[in-house]
Amino acid sequence: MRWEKFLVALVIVFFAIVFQMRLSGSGGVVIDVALAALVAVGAVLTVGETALLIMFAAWALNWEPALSWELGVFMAVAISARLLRPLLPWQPWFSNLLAVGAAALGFNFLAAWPLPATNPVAFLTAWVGTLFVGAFIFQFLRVIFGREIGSAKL
Amino acid sequence: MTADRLILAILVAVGALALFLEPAAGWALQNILRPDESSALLAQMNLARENTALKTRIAESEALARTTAVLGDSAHVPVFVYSRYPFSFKNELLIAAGSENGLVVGVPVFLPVVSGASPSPDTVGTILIGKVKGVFKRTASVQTVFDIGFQMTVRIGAAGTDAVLSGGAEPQLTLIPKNSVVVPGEAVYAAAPDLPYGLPIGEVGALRMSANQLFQEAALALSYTGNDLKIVVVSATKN
Repeated sequence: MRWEKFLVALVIVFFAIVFQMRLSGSGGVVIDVALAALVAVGAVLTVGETALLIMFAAWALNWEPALSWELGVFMAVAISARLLRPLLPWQPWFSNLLAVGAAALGFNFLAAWPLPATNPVAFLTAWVGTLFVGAFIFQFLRVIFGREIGSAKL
Repeated sequence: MTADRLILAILVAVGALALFLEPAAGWALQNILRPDESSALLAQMNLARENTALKTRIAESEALARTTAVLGDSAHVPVFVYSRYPFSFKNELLIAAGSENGLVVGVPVFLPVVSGASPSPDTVGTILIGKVKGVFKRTASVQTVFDIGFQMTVRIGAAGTDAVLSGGAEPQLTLIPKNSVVVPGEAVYAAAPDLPYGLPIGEVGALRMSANQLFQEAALALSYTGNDLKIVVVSATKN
Protein backbone atom coordinates (compact mmCIF):
# COMPACT_ATOMS: atom_id res chain seq x y z
CA MET A 1 0.00 0.00 0.00
CA ARG A 2 1.13 3.52 -0.71
CA TRP A 3 0.59 4.69 2.83
CA GLU A 4 0.90 8.42 2.25
CA LYS A 5 -1.76 8.47 -0.46
CA PHE A 6 -4.00 6.14 1.52
CA LEU A 7 -3.75 8.24 4.68
CA VAL A 8 -4.52 11.47 2.82
CA ALA A 9 -7.49 9.78 1.14
CA LEU A 10 -8.67 8.41 4.49
CA VAL A 11 -8.61 11.88 6.04
CA ILE A 12 -10.52 13.32 3.08
CA VAL A 13 -13.18 10.59 3.24
CA PHE A 14 -13.46 10.98 7.01
CA PHE A 15 -14.18 14.70 6.75
CA ALA A 16 -16.56 14.05 3.87
CA ILE A 17 -18.51 11.64 6.09
CA VAL A 18 -18.66 14.19 8.89
CA PHE A 19 -19.91 16.82 6.48
CA GLN A 20 -22.49 14.42 5.02
CA MET A 21 -23.86 13.64 8.50
CA ARG A 22 -24.20 17.31 9.39
CA LEU A 23 -25.92 18.07 6.11
CA SER A 24 -28.39 15.21 6.52
CA GLY A 25 -29.45 16.42 9.95
CA SER A 26 -30.01 20.00 8.91
CA GLY A 27 -32.60 19.22 6.26
CA GLY A 28 -32.76 20.76 2.81
CA VAL A 29 -30.61 19.78 -0.17
CA VAL A 30 -28.08 17.11 0.77
CA ILE A 31 -25.04 16.88 -1.48
CA ASP A 32 -23.55 13.39 -1.83
CA VAL A 33 -20.27 14.52 -0.29
CA ALA A 34 -19.14 11.06 0.82
CA LEU A 35 -19.77 9.56 -2.63
CA ALA A 36 -17.95 12.42 -4.37
CA ALA A 37 -14.97 11.96 -2.05
CA LEU A 38 -14.82 8.20 -2.60
CA VAL A 39 -14.90 8.59 -6.39
CA ALA A 40 -12.33 11.39 -6.40
CA VAL A 41 -9.78 9.63 -4.16
CA GLY A 42 -10.00 6.66 -6.53
CA ALA A 43 -7.66 8.71 -8.72
CA VAL A 44 -4.76 8.04 -6.34
CA LEU A 45 -5.66 4.65 -4.91
CA THR A 46 -5.78 1.08 -6.14
CA VAL A 47 -9.08 -0.79 -6.35
CA GLY A 48 -8.35 -2.61 -3.10
CA GLU A 49 -7.53 0.58 -1.23
CA THR A 50 -10.66 2.26 -2.63
CA ALA A 51 -12.76 -0.73 -1.59
CA LEU A 52 -11.42 -0.43 1.95
CA LEU A 53 -12.38 3.22 2.15
CA ILE A 54 -15.80 2.47 0.67
CA MET A 55 -16.41 -0.10 3.39
CA PHE A 56 -15.27 2.34 6.07
CA ALA A 57 -17.65 4.98 4.69
CA ALA A 58 -20.54 2.50 4.53
CA TRP A 59 -19.90 1.41 8.12
CA ALA A 60 -19.81 5.02 9.35
CA LEU A 61 -22.93 6.03 7.40
CA ASN A 62 -24.98 2.91 8.11
CA TRP A 63 -28.12 3.78 10.07
CA GLU A 64 -29.85 0.38 10.35
CA PRO A 65 -28.95 -3.01 11.87
CA ALA A 66 -28.96 -4.58 8.41
CA LEU A 67 -27.33 -3.47 5.16
CA SER A 68 -29.96 -1.52 3.24
CA TRP A 69 -30.61 -1.24 -0.49
CA GLU A 70 -29.41 2.38 -0.52
CA LEU A 71 -26.10 1.53 1.14
CA GLY A 72 -25.59 -1.43 -1.18
CA VAL A 73 -26.13 0.82 -4.19
CA PHE A 74 -23.80 3.42 -2.65
CA MET A 75 -21.00 0.88 -2.35
CA ALA A 76 -21.62 -0.64 -5.78
CA VAL A 77 -21.66 2.74 -7.53
CA ALA A 78 -18.49 3.90 -5.79
CA ILE A 79 -16.50 0.78 -6.62
CA SER A 80 -17.84 0.76 -10.19
CA ALA A 81 -16.60 4.32 -10.66
CA ARG A 82 -13.13 3.21 -9.57
CA LEU A 83 -13.16 0.13 -11.81
CA LEU A 84 -14.24 2.11 -14.86
CA ARG A 85 -11.94 5.10 -14.29
CA PRO A 86 -8.92 3.65 -16.22
CA LEU A 87 -11.16 3.12 -19.26
CA LEU A 88 -11.99 6.81 -19.59
CA PRO A 89 -9.77 8.26 -22.35
CA TRP A 90 -10.03 11.95 -21.52
CA GLN A 91 -8.01 14.37 -19.45
CA PRO A 92 -7.88 13.18 -15.80
CA TRP A 93 -9.81 16.19 -14.48
CA PHE A 94 -12.62 15.63 -16.99
CA SER A 95 -12.65 11.88 -16.40
CA ASN A 96 -12.97 12.59 -12.68
CA LEU A 97 -15.86 14.97 -13.28
CA LEU A 98 -17.54 12.40 -15.46
CA ALA A 99 -17.02 9.64 -12.90
CA VAL A 100 -18.41 11.75 -10.04
CA GLY A 101 -21.39 12.89 -12.10
CA ALA A 102 -22.22 9.41 -13.34
CA ALA A 103 -21.84 7.93 -9.85
CA ALA A 104 -24.14 10.55 -8.31
CA LEU A 105 -26.71 10.07 -11.08
CA GLY A 106 -26.58 6.30 -10.74
CA PHE A 107 -26.89 6.45 -6.97
CA ASN A 108 -29.86 8.82 -6.98
CA PHE A 109 -31.69 7.01 -9.77
CA LEU A 110 -31.16 3.51 -8.43
CA ALA A 111 -31.61 4.22 -4.72
CA ALA A 112 -34.12 7.05 -4.67
CA TRP A 113 -36.34 6.81 -7.74
CA PRO A 114 -38.87 8.50 -8.21
CA LEU A 115 -37.60 11.33 -5.99
CA PRO A 116 -35.31 12.84 -8.68
CA ALA A 117 -38.36 13.11 -10.95
CA THR A 118 -40.72 14.49 -8.31
CA ASN A 119 -38.29 17.11 -7.07
CA PRO A 120 -36.00 17.85 -10.03
CA VAL A 121 -34.78 21.24 -8.83
CA ALA A 122 -33.55 19.88 -5.50
CA PHE A 123 -32.01 16.87 -7.24
CA LEU A 124 -30.16 18.99 -9.81
CA THR A 125 -28.92 21.37 -7.13
CA ALA A 126 -27.56 18.46 -5.11
CA TRP A 127 -26.03 16.89 -8.23
CA VAL A 128 -24.19 20.09 -9.21
CA GLY A 129 -22.97 20.41 -5.63
CA THR A 130 -21.68 16.84 -5.77
CA LEU A 131 -19.79 17.61 -8.99
CA PHE A 132 -18.23 20.65 -7.36
CA VAL A 133 -17.11 18.66 -4.31
CA GLY A 134 -15.63 15.92 -6.50
CA ALA A 135 -13.75 18.45 -8.62
CA PHE A 136 -12.47 20.27 -5.54
CA ILE A 137 -11.15 17.09 -3.93
CA PHE A 138 -9.49 15.99 -7.18
CA GLN A 139 -7.78 19.34 -7.53
CA PHE A 140 -6.65 19.16 -3.91
CA LEU A 141 -5.10 15.76 -4.59
CA ARG A 142 -3.38 17.16 -7.67
CA VAL A 143 -1.79 19.90 -5.60
CA ILE A 144 -0.47 17.37 -3.09
CA PHE A 145 0.58 14.53 -5.38
CA GLY A 146 1.23 16.27 -8.67
CA ARG A 147 -0.57 16.53 -11.96
CA GLU A 148 0.07 12.91 -12.99
CA ILE A 149 -2.74 11.59 -10.75
CA GLY A 150 -5.91 10.34 -12.34
CA SER A 151 -4.26 7.64 -14.40
CA ALA A 152 -4.62 5.08 -11.60
CA LYS A 153 -4.28 1.50 -12.73
CA LEU A 154 -6.30 -1.46 -11.50
CA MET B 1 1.39 -12.02 -2.13
CA THR B 2 3.40 -9.03 -0.97
CA ALA B 3 3.16 -7.81 2.59
CA ASP B 4 1.28 -4.70 1.46
CA ARG B 5 -1.38 -6.68 -0.33
CA LEU B 6 -1.72 -9.05 2.61
CA ILE B 7 -2.24 -6.14 4.97
CA LEU B 8 -4.80 -4.66 2.60
CA ALA B 9 -6.65 -7.95 2.32
CA ILE B 10 -6.78 -8.26 6.11
CA LEU B 11 -8.05 -4.69 6.47
CA VAL B 12 -10.74 -5.28 3.83
CA ALA B 13 -11.85 -8.41 5.68
CA VAL B 14 -11.99 -6.54 8.99
CA GLY B 15 -13.94 -3.73 7.32
CA ALA B 16 -16.46 -6.18 5.92
CA LEU B 17 -16.89 -7.82 9.33
CA ALA B 18 -17.40 -4.42 10.99
CA LEU B 19 -19.95 -3.40 8.37
CA PHE B 20 -22.06 -6.53 8.74
CA LEU B 21 -21.55 -7.52 12.37
CA GLU B 22 -20.91 -4.28 14.26
CA PRO B 23 -23.13 -1.51 12.89
CA ALA B 24 -23.65 -0.21 16.44
CA ALA B 25 -20.01 0.94 16.57
CA GLY B 26 -20.69 3.01 13.45
CA TRP B 27 -23.72 4.59 15.14
CA ALA B 28 -21.53 5.51 18.15
CA LEU B 29 -19.10 7.20 15.77
CA GLN B 30 -22.00 9.09 14.15
CA ASN B 31 -23.18 10.39 17.54
CA ILE B 32 -19.68 11.60 18.36
CA LEU B 33 -19.40 13.45 15.06
CA ARG B 34 -22.83 15.08 15.07
CA PRO B 35 -23.00 18.70 16.23
CA ASP B 36 -24.19 19.62 19.72
CA GLU B 37 -26.30 22.69 20.24
CA SER B 38 -25.06 25.41 22.56
CA SER B 39 -26.70 25.65 25.99
CA ALA B 40 -28.10 29.13 25.23
CA LEU B 41 -29.70 27.92 22.01
CA LEU B 42 -30.97 24.81 23.79
CA ALA B 43 -32.67 26.94 26.45
CA GLN B 44 -34.23 29.11 23.79
CA MET B 45 -35.52 26.15 21.81
CA ASN B 46 -36.85 24.44 24.96
CA LEU B 47 -38.88 27.56 25.64
CA ALA B 48 -40.24 27.52 22.08
CA ARG B 49 -41.19 23.85 22.39
CA GLU B 50 -42.89 24.45 25.73
CA ASN B 51 -44.78 27.30 24.08
CA THR B 52 -45.97 25.02 21.27
CA ALA B 53 -47.16 22.32 23.68
CA LEU B 54 -49.01 24.86 25.85
CA LYS B 55 -50.66 26.55 22.86
CA THR B 56 -52.04 23.21 21.77
CA ARG B 57 -53.46 22.54 25.22
CA ILE B 58 -55.20 25.90 25.17
CA ALA B 59 -56.60 25.21 21.69
CA GLU B 60 -57.87 21.82 22.81
CA SER B 61 -59.58 23.10 25.96
CA GLU B 62 -61.35 25.86 23.98
CA ALA B 63 -62.45 23.70 21.06
CA LEU B 64 -63.11 20.23 22.38
CA ALA B 65 -66.01 18.88 24.41
CA ARG B 66 -64.15 15.76 25.38
CA THR B 67 -60.77 15.39 27.03
CA THR B 68 -57.93 14.51 24.74
CA ALA B 69 -55.26 12.88 26.79
CA VAL B 70 -52.08 13.28 24.78
CA LEU B 71 -50.24 10.50 26.44
CA GLY B 72 -53.10 8.03 26.70
CA ASP B 73 -53.01 4.94 28.87
CA SER B 74 -50.08 3.20 27.20
CA ALA B 75 -46.61 3.27 28.66
CA HIS B 76 -44.29 5.93 27.29
CA VAL B 77 -40.62 5.20 27.06
CA PRO B 78 -37.77 7.65 26.51
CA VAL B 79 -35.28 6.19 24.04
CA PHE B 80 -32.02 7.26 22.46
CA VAL B 81 -31.67 8.03 18.79
CA TYR B 82 -28.94 5.73 17.49
CA SER B 83 -28.49 7.14 14.02
CA ARG B 84 -30.22 8.94 11.20
CA TYR B 85 -30.54 8.40 7.47
CA PRO B 86 -27.45 9.97 5.92
CA PHE B 87 -28.64 10.69 2.39
CA SER B 88 -31.12 13.15 0.92
CA PHE B 89 -33.91 10.76 -0.08
CA LYS B 90 -35.56 10.29 3.30
CA ASN B 91 -35.51 11.65 6.82
CA GLU B 92 -35.55 8.72 9.23
CA LEU B 93 -34.11 7.94 12.62
CA LEU B 94 -33.08 4.67 14.21
CA ILE B 95 -34.19 4.52 17.84
CA ALA B 96 -33.21 2.23 20.67
CA ALA B 97 -36.53 0.43 21.05
CA GLY B 98 -37.99 -2.39 19.02
CA SER B 99 -40.36 -5.33 19.08
CA GLU B 100 -38.88 -6.46 22.39
CA ASN B 101 -40.30 -3.22 23.89
CA GLY B 102 -43.74 -3.76 22.37
CA LEU B 103 -43.19 -1.31 19.52
CA VAL B 104 -45.27 -1.74 16.37
CA VAL B 105 -45.48 0.12 13.05
CA GLY B 106 -47.49 3.33 13.21
CA VAL B 107 -46.75 4.21 16.83
CA PRO B 108 -46.27 7.99 17.29
CA VAL B 109 -42.86 9.29 18.35
CA PHE B 110 -42.42 12.47 20.36
CA LEU B 111 -39.84 15.02 21.39
CA PRO B 112 -40.09 15.54 25.17
CA VAL B 113 -40.74 19.12 26.24
CA VAL B 114 -38.88 20.00 29.41
CA SER B 115 -39.92 22.98 31.51
CA GLY B 116 -36.96 25.21 32.22
CA ALA B 117 -38.90 27.14 34.85
CA SER B 118 -38.49 24.79 37.79
CA PRO B 119 -35.16 24.07 39.50
CA SER B 120 -35.49 20.38 38.63
CA PRO B 121 -36.67 20.24 35.00
CA ASP B 122 -39.85 18.26 34.47
CA THR B 123 -41.43 16.91 31.32
CA VAL B 124 -44.48 19.10 30.71
CA GLY B 125 -45.53 17.58 27.44
CA THR B 126 -44.45 16.17 24.14
CA ILE B 127 -44.34 17.24 20.51
CA LEU B 128 -45.08 14.76 17.72
CA ILE B 129 -42.06 14.38 15.45
CA GLY B 130 -42.99 11.30 13.42
CA LYS B 131 -44.20 7.71 13.34
CA VAL B 132 -42.53 4.31 13.59
CA LYS B 133 -42.04 3.00 10.07
CA GLY B 134 -40.17 -0.27 10.58
CA VAL B 135 -39.52 -2.42 13.63
CA PHE B 136 -36.52 -4.66 14.35
CA LYS B 137 -35.91 -6.73 17.44
CA ARG B 138 -34.19 -4.02 19.52
CA THR B 139 -34.45 -0.99 17.24
CA ALA B 140 -37.00 0.76 15.06
CA SER B 141 -36.91 3.24 12.19
CA VAL B 142 -38.93 6.45 12.58
CA GLN B 143 -40.21 8.54 9.68
CA THR B 144 -40.03 12.18 10.78
CA VAL B 145 -42.01 15.22 9.63
CA PHE B 146 -38.90 16.23 7.65
CA ASP B 147 -39.35 13.20 5.37
CA ILE B 148 -40.72 14.10 1.96
CA GLY B 149 -43.11 11.14 2.11
CA PHE B 150 -44.64 12.11 5.48
CA GLN B 151 -48.32 13.09 5.33
CA MET B 152 -50.88 13.53 8.08
CA THR B 153 -54.24 15.19 8.60
CA VAL B 154 -54.00 17.94 11.18
CA ARG B 155 -56.10 20.70 12.67
CA ILE B 156 -55.26 24.31 13.38
CA GLY B 157 -56.05 26.42 16.44
CA ALA B 158 -59.17 26.64 18.57
CA ALA B 159 -61.40 26.61 15.47
CA GLY B 160 -60.03 23.20 14.49
CA THR B 161 -59.44 24.18 10.85
CA ASP B 162 -58.61 21.13 8.76
CA ALA B 163 -55.30 20.89 6.91
CA VAL B 164 -52.83 18.32 5.60
CA LEU B 165 -49.26 18.27 6.87
CA SER B 166 -46.87 17.46 4.03
CA GLY B 167 -43.37 16.53 5.11
CA GLY B 168 -40.10 17.80 3.70
CA ALA B 169 -37.07 19.88 4.57
CA GLU B 170 -39.58 22.65 5.30
CA PRO B 171 -42.87 20.92 6.24
CA GLN B 172 -45.96 22.56 4.82
CA LEU B 173 -49.64 22.81 5.75
CA THR B 174 -51.72 22.35 2.63
CA LEU B 175 -55.38 22.10 1.63
CA ILE B 176 -56.45 24.70 4.20
CA PRO B 177 -59.98 25.80 3.23
CA LYS B 178 -59.82 29.09 1.38
CA ASN B 179 -62.34 30.88 3.57
CA SER B 180 -60.98 29.72 6.91
CA VAL B 181 -59.40 32.32 9.14
CA VAL B 182 -55.94 31.08 10.05
CA VAL B 183 -53.40 33.23 11.83
CA PRO B 184 -49.63 32.67 11.95
CA GLY B 185 -48.64 31.38 15.37
CA GLU B 186 -51.73 29.22 15.89
CA ALA B 187 -51.17 25.70 17.21
CA VAL B 188 -51.12 22.77 14.80
CA TYR B 189 -52.05 19.36 16.20
CA ALA B 190 -52.65 15.84 14.92
CA ALA B 191 -56.09 14.73 13.73
CA ALA B 192 -55.18 11.43 12.08
CA PRO B 193 -57.37 8.34 12.55
CA ASP B 194 -54.42 6.13 13.55
CA LEU B 195 -53.07 8.51 16.22
CA PRO B 196 -54.39 9.97 19.46
CA TYR B 197 -56.21 13.22 18.75
CA GLY B 198 -54.59 16.52 19.61
CA LEU B 199 -50.88 15.67 19.64
CA PRO B 200 -48.94 18.96 19.40
CA ILE B 201 -46.86 19.29 16.24
CA GLY B 202 -45.94 22.93 15.69
CA GLU B 203 -47.33 26.32 14.80
CA VAL B 204 -48.59 28.01 11.66
CA GLY B 205 -45.91 29.95 9.80
CA ALA B 206 -46.21 32.29 6.84
CA LEU B 207 -49.53 31.98 4.95
CA ARG B 208 -50.06 32.07 1.21
CA MET B 209 -52.55 30.93 -1.44
CA SER B 210 -52.02 27.68 -3.32
CA ALA B 211 -50.91 27.77 -6.95
CA ASN B 212 -54.45 27.04 -8.15
CA GLN B 213 -55.91 29.66 -5.76
CA LEU B 214 -58.37 27.13 -4.35
CA PHE B 215 -56.79 26.62 -0.93
CA GLN B 216 -54.58 28.35 1.58
CA GLU B 217 -51.16 26.97 2.42
CA ALA B 218 -48.69 27.73 5.17
CA ALA B 219 -45.27 26.77 6.37
CA LEU B 220 -45.16 24.71 9.55
CA ALA B 221 -43.06 26.49 12.15
CA LEU B 222 -41.19 24.01 14.31
CA SER B 223 -39.27 24.63 17.51
CA TYR B 224 -36.63 22.03 16.72
CA THR B 225 -34.44 20.80 13.86
CA GLY B 226 -33.41 17.34 12.78
CA ASN B 227 -30.16 17.64 14.71
CA ASP B 228 -32.06 18.20 17.99
CA LEU B 229 -33.53 14.70 17.93
CA LYS B 230 -31.21 12.86 20.30
CA ILE B 231 -33.72 11.49 22.85
CA VAL B 232 -37.33 10.80 21.90
CA VAL B 233 -40.37 9.30 23.61
CA VAL B 234 -42.42 6.42 22.21
CA SER B 235 -45.55 4.60 23.23
CA ALA B 236 -44.76 1.02 24.07
CA THR B 237 -48.06 -0.13 22.57
CA LYS B 238 -50.12 1.38 19.78
CA ASN B 239 -53.29 3.29 20.93
